[in-house]
Amino acid sequence: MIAFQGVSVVYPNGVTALRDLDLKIEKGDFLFLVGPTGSGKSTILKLIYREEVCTSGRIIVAGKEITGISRRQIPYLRRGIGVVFQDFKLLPRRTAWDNVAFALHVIGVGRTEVKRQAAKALDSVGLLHKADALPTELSAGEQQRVCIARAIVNNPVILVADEPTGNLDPDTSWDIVQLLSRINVKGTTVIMATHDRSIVDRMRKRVIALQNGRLVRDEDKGAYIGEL
Amino acid sequence: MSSRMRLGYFLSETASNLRYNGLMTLASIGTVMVSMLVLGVFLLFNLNLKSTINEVSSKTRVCLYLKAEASGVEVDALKRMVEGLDGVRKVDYVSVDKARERLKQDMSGQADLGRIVDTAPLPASMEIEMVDTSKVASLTSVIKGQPAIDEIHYGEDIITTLNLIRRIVQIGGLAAIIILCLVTAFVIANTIRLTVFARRKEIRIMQLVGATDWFINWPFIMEGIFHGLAGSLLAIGIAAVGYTWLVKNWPLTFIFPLAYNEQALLHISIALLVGGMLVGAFGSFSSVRKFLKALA
Repeated sequence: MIAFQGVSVVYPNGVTALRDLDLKIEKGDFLFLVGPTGSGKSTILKLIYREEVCTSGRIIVAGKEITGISRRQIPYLRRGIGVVFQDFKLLPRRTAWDNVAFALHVIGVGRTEVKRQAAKALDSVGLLHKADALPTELSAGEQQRVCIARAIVNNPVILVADEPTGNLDPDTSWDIVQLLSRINVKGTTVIMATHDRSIVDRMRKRVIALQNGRLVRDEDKGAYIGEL
Repeated sequence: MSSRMRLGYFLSETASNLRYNGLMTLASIGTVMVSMLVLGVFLLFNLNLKSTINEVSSKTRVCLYLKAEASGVEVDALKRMVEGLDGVRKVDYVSVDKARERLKQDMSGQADLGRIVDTAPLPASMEIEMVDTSKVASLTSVIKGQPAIDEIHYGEDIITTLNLIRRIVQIGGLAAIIILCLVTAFVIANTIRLTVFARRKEIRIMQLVGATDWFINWPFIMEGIFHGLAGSLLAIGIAAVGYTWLVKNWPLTFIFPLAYNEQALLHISIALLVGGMLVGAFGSFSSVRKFLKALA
């Protein structure tokens, strides 16, 4: 599904974000990216939806090499990838429903289809009853669920989450991860960057640990801190 | 999505853009209005200058004074030759008697001069009315050596000056129009930049969920076109009211009346309308494109 081959990212100011990374993620995987701030977790996620471009190496997403694709092809790549952020990035003046429907509107989906899919997505995160609420009227956990609904409304094959529980209390965090896990069970590949030790330890999923832009650990049923 | 629904989406996005920054929208429309008004005043000035030049040109005649000894055959041949030349509308032969008659008329009321006129040695002449005054120089050079001609007179200075003014106005006008359009586009670009900035979060999300640049661009470009359209409509309205008033109250003592050629005025209106919309589209496009490039 996703492959990184010898990928390095060096910023113009000389900072190296990733060094010679080799990584393979299979279809239907659930994967945690762990490591200290600045270790390269976010960079990996951004490379997948081509927010960033690697300095060297090859990246393959959904069977397609994306290293050299043109600007015009990027939107079509992103339609297959859902993105969830720590700060939700919801539009404050639009209702939960509008925030989810927006993602379909802007890629040219017809009105009936928008209605059907938005309802389905909001229902799957358990927020159909709050469709008319503005983000400010929702709790942080609910806002994150709207963000997830927006990310999955287009039935992406890959879901990328950058510290989605960073702003949430432990119980709500656990709910969110359970939600992501349910999405994963339906076949979507989920990649989640996190600092949340208890979640990683409880989930027992594949863990990739990074340090200074290098992959230092890759375990199938791993924990937040490596077992010796 | 069908194209009708797309248009609906773009229109509603444009409308909400306009609502979001109402005051800036007004400022932007106002700037377009001022620019297009200046452009309109310039075009009207140009129209009047052109009609004045035409008026003066049509009244400018080349006068050939004929030699007293020139024969009727020579005069006839000269008249036919001149009539065949480029830029000539009409050739009138003025005999000695006719010239005297005219002079008498001009001096009527000044009784004492009547006798002098009767005895004055007036030459016969040929008066050439031109279609195109810029052809006068070439005309004179062609007929200069003709045996029947004694002297050639024409308003050299006036014609040269008028043609020079016309040239200067054309070049200066073109430069002024280009500068004005650039300034207007710049102002619109700045206003649209504010809209884009106000909606940067939405644009960001649009990019992340896979909206194409084209799809993101359109509402902003339509907003720019709307600024241009509204501004130029206002400018046309003000110019129309102002110019109509001027035409009605133009003092008759002026040599030339103001031009009120409906077709030319329609052309000016269309020019302002299209100009405003193009400038609006160009301004917003350059603004959004810069922003999208910076983000992606």
